[in-house]
Parts: sequence; structure tokens; C-alpha cells
Amino acid sequence: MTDYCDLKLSEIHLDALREICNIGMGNAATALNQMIGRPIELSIPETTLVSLCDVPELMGGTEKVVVGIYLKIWGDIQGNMLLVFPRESARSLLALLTGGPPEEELLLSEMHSSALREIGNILASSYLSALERLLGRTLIPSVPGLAFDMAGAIVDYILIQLGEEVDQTLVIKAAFSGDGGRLTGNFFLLPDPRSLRIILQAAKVMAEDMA
Amino acid sequence: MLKVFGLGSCVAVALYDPGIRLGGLAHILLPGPAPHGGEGRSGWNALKYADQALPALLHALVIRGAEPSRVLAKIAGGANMFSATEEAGGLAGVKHGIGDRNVEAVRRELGRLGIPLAAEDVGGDRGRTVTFETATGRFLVANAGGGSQVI
Repeated sequence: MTDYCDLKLSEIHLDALREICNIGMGNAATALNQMIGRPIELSIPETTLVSLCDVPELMGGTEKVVVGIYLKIWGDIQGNMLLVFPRESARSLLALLTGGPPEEELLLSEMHSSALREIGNILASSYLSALERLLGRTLIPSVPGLAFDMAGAIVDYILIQLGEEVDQTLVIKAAFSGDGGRLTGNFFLLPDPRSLRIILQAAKVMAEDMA
Repeated sequence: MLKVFGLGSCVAVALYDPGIRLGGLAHILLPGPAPHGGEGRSGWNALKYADQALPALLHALVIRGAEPSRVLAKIAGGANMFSATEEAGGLAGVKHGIGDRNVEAVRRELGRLGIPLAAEDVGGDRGRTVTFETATGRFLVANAGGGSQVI
């Protein structure tokens, strides 16, 4: 069993992870910008090593109702990816995409959830393809699952899978916003401990190439 | 009053002794059994497993004066948050029905401990927030849709 603590993550490692994710996010933001025709701003990604019970808080509060789009990552590098839109942002996004937000505040029609799932698919794929090119490793996203529910309940699903192996996880969080702040969202990448080692090795090679 | 926010596939288990109005709440992440050799790892928490948390909670109540034969259980949670995608085989390789497996493990563990299950609100595909009043045994389950019920 590999634990994150065995990896002895230093500030340099975390810096490399932030940089890698920044590039992935840049790619995803370009895709989003092309879809909705609005500029998208990115914040600097944050990396945190937290115990599993503190993850929901990191996702913006356990009881807050959000749209969560979840993908499992397969391939050389494995892990979990979660795209979270606050309820209001999901509504603005749907208004931009489909010409009208859902009438019901707490329900999504089949068409609306399908549109959001597709957005998630496109954003995650562009994020992961940037990582793939950068690291020279294969990353295969699963079909996205969508839930419109309390953040804590959504993240439970991921934490349970992680909980079978670890008690702590590395969360790489990247926030984005657009359309005058009406559209905000967070990308969460939770690499498996074993995959993290591969990512860091690839990052090291990358840094040496650049030097 | 004890509260668990945003339960998805996890299960909240309240144990309550109405005789002395004493209760406790456990938050179950995994069905178990807990693997051996986890102790000593940083941040290790065996209480995320049903087979560890429930005996520990019962013990905690008993040393505070609860009578095991009077203790009742109320449970909520065990949803399958991404059930539609799971059924379509979309999340290939992800263990199916983790919510169901958690509920099953909790029921089995309660059976083993001889604790009757007084009420439950489990399954489905919605998250829940649970509020448990230890003095009265009142167990309130609310969901993101705004609905709530006392069980």
C-alpha cells in the first residue's frame, strides 16, 4: 500500500503539480471560452494534502447544493476528477448554452443534465489531453457521471473509493470564473498515490529538459 | 444534538437508549472489514468501517450507563449518487452500489450486536443531512430538494 506520506512531497513537488494543472486548466478554459463565447479567468491552482473527512469542506461546504460532474481516470495515471459548479453558475452556464436556464431551482431536465455532462466531458478531456501531452503518459477519462446535490454527498462517492486505500488525499483545486463572475467553478484532481509518483517523475524529467 | 451534513453513499447510524435518553451517532464510510496493519499509518482511522465503528459506539454508550438490551438504531444514507451512469456501465471499474453495500454492512453489524433497527431512510440517489437529538431520539433526515422527515 502506498501512502501519500511515503512520497515525502516537498514544496518543489507541489509547485510542479500546480504548474502541470495550470496548463491543463488553461486548455480547459480555452475550450469553455470557445463554447460560450465569454472570456474565462483562472486562478492559481492550490494543492492540499488533507485527511478524507476534511475534503467536503475544501469543496465549498458540505450542504451547499452544487452540480458535480465526476470522471474516473484510467491509463498510466489513475485518479479521480470532479468538476463542481455552484447551482447559480450551472444555471448561467445552461442559459448561455441552451438559451434558457431551468425553471425549477432544484431539478434539472434530462436535456439540461445532458448538456452539463457534455460540458464536463469536454472540459475534462481538454484538461487531461494537456496533461497527457505534457507528461507523455496515457490518461483515459470514463464517461462522466452527474449529480445535482449537496457537495458533501457528491464527494462521498469519491472518498469512499479512496478510503479503501488511504486516509489522506492530495487535492489539486483550480478555480475559474467568467461572464462577470456569474459563472464560477472548481476543478478537483485527486490522483491515486501510486500515480502521483509517476506524475512527479514525469515533472522532474520535464524540469530537467527545460533547464 | 448531533449532525451529519451531506451524506451520500455513507451511512449515519444513531444508537439510542430511550431508558436513560442517551445517544450517539456514527458516520460509516466503508462496509469493512477493516484491513489489518493500518494502525500506525498517519491519519489512520479505523472508525470509518462499519465493523469497527458500531461496536465502538455501543461501547461508548454502555460505559456511560446505557443498557445494551434497550439500545435502538436509526439509520440514514447509503445513496448511489451516480446511479444512472453506473447502470449504463459508464464508470467502468468503479465498484457498483457502494451505498447499498454500506447499508447492508450496517444492518449485518446491528444484527450481530443484537440492536433492533427502529427506523431507516436509505438508498435512492439523493444526498441527505441528518440531525439527531440525543435527548429525545428524534432523527431528522433532510435532502437537497428541500424535503425532510422525522423517522
